[in-house]
Amino acid sequence: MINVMTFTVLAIFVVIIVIFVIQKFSSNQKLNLTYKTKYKVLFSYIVVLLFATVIYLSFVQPKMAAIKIEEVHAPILYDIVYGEDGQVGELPEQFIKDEWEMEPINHEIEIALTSGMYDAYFSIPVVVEERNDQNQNVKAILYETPTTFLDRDISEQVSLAKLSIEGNQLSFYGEEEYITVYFRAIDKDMTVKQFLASHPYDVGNYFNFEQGEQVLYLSVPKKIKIKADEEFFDIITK
Amino acid sequence: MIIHCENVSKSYNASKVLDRISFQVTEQKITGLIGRNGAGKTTLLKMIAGFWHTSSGNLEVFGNDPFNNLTVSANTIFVDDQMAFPETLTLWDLLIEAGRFYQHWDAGLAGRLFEYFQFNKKQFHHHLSKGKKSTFNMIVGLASRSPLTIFDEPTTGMDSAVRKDFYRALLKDYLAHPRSILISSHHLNEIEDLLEDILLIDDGNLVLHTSIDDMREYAIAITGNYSQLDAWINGKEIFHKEKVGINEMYVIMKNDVPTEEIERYGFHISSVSPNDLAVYMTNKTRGGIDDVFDSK
Amino acid sequence: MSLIQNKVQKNTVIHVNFLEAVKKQYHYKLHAHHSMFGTMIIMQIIAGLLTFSNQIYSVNSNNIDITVRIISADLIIGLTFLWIIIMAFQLTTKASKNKMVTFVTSKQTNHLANILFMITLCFIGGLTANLLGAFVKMVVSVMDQTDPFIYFAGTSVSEFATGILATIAYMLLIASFFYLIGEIVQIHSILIIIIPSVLVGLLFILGVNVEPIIGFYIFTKSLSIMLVKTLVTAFLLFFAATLFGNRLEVRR
Repeated sequence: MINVMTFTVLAIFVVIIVIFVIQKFSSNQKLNLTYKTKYKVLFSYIVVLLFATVIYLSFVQPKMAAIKIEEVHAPILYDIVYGEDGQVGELPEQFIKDEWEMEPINHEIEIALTSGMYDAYFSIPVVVEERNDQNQNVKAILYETPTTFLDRDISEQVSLAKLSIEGNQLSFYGEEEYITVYFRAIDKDMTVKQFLASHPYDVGNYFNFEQGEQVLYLSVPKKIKIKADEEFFDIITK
Repeated sequence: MIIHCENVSKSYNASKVLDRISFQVTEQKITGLIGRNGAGKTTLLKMIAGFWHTSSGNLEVFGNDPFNNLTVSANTIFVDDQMAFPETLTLWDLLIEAGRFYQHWDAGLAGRLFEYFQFNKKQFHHHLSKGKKSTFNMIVGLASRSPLTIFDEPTTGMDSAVRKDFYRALLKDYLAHPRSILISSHHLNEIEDLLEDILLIDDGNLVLHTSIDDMREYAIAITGNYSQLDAWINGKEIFHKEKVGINEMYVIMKNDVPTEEIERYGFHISSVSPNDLAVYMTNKTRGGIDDVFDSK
Repeated sequence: MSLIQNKVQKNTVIHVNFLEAVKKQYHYKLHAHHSMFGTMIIMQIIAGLLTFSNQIYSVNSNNIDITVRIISADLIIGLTFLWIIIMAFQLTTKASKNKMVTFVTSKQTNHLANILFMITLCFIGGLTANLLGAFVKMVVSVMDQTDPFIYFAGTSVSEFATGILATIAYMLLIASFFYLIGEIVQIHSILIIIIPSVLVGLLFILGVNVEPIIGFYIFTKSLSIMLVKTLVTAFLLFFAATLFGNRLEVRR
């Protein structure tokens, strides 16, 4: 938050200037601070902080702690798709993002990556399963696992590619090429942490970031042609 | 026994500042420590106060070695123009703090002196002018009524009106509340009326330790015909001689010759003030300032 | 002719009790050094303000930049440690000793009064550092901002108390160490150069490992054991400091 940074720097400047001014003023105007006033200042400082601490520990903290930030554990789709024995495994149902039905044109569907997406490492496995029925439609299912940070779901802040389907076009697009996310965290102090067992989610220890995965599943009729850029889409037949 | 000083020497960086000084202060008196700049007065006083070590000899204050001694510190106050006070306390606060340390502290006296010399309660010590600092330090020294009160050149920076007030205040309070006072100065003429005893120091040596009265009688000044006087003083203890006028000599010598003998020669006798005597007894081997200007 | 014919009142020699002298000096220092608390408050507030924007960057992937603003009292506690180091040093300077010598003191009473004063500083510093930390955390929790919480590690009351005790204990350890160093350095001005050089030499050239020494305190998991270790060490260091500088002249 640039605002906070600027605010902090300005605040520090203000504090230093205020101190400077008080010094100058007191030495010029003979407005002298006796030790009694200084101790009154110290006393009120402690009292204010004590008061704030009591409020914090009794009210604010329990309220904050009650806000559960759920932990998410998602399976790794990559391992399912590129299974050990070369077989595509079962894609998890609970991670279905969306489902579509589309009609191929001339037995052809096209998958493309359009604009707005950071494409340097973009790669989506496309699992294609042929059906033996008469239905000429293509069923598309987009599986998506959440992006997690410290095992918390941050998909809202870090969005993966979006999919829009029109006619026989599946278009992946993005909204932002470069994503910047800010979070707050409140941590225990080092003098407290010393005596506690190391917490796995101890912010200071490591930043566990797992980017979400996407897998496109297509249920296609026979003799369907899929046109897709190999660089971005890895077509796997189930 | 208040101060017992026996063959005390002090060397500092291979130069001898004091050489085998011996004296005793056994009663509550005002003793003046007189000498030229660099004679060793401050050194002696700081050793008595317990700030500095002696290099050799035996120094006892209130029966103790004064260095790092709580009893000596509690019974002594050292007043000079470098008295260190915290910059963070106001003058009035300093007086209150001082009062906590000294059992005999007279807060009333301190307050009245403070007001008399027109100090501002809320001022800070390091903002004071040199003279005002000395004045404040003097107030602290007086009001503490320490059994041993040491003043080292206490009037530095004071104007003459304040100096007069200081001497008067010192005397009055001393009369009402006797204590041992050591006061060093190179203005003996100013404090002469204040002193009871005198310690005269020259180049690290104790030249004289006597009462002020005895010092007034210690030497006499004789003027007379140059060649006559010159012959007569041969073999006697002379502190100073100089040519005066065309054919006269001015001589200061120890007062151990009967007056009649001097008058028989037709010489003129006058007394020598302690101040003059002190000047001539110290560094008497040096020529006068005139020699610097007189051509060869 | 003596000025005083009858000595009216004999000013008898005052005998001072050692502990009473220490007490008087302690109160004197408490009054004279009030500015130390002023600097403490200022340093802590600056640390508190800096904590607001304390950022730890985590750049993961090539297009994703995650920044976490971690709020804890660490920076405040750290600066308070720095503060006590400076204060401990200040008490060893010639200027500080000269100010004591104006009144009633001995080297030993001065040391003891200094130690009592430093203990006071540590208690107040340790307490306020943690309290201010809680204050900052509260402000951050309550402030309405666009960045959500990714993690909230609360501190229970007993943990909070532990933190305060541990902070005070560390400050005592640090204060005693630097007071001792300050006293040693006063003996000769050349030591100001020699001692840091020796320490740096030990660290880098000889590769002496400080970790086991610091780890002795930091890696203790039990509060009571850590307190014992810290306080005993502080006591020994303070005691050692009282052995130095007792022959030094006070050059006013």
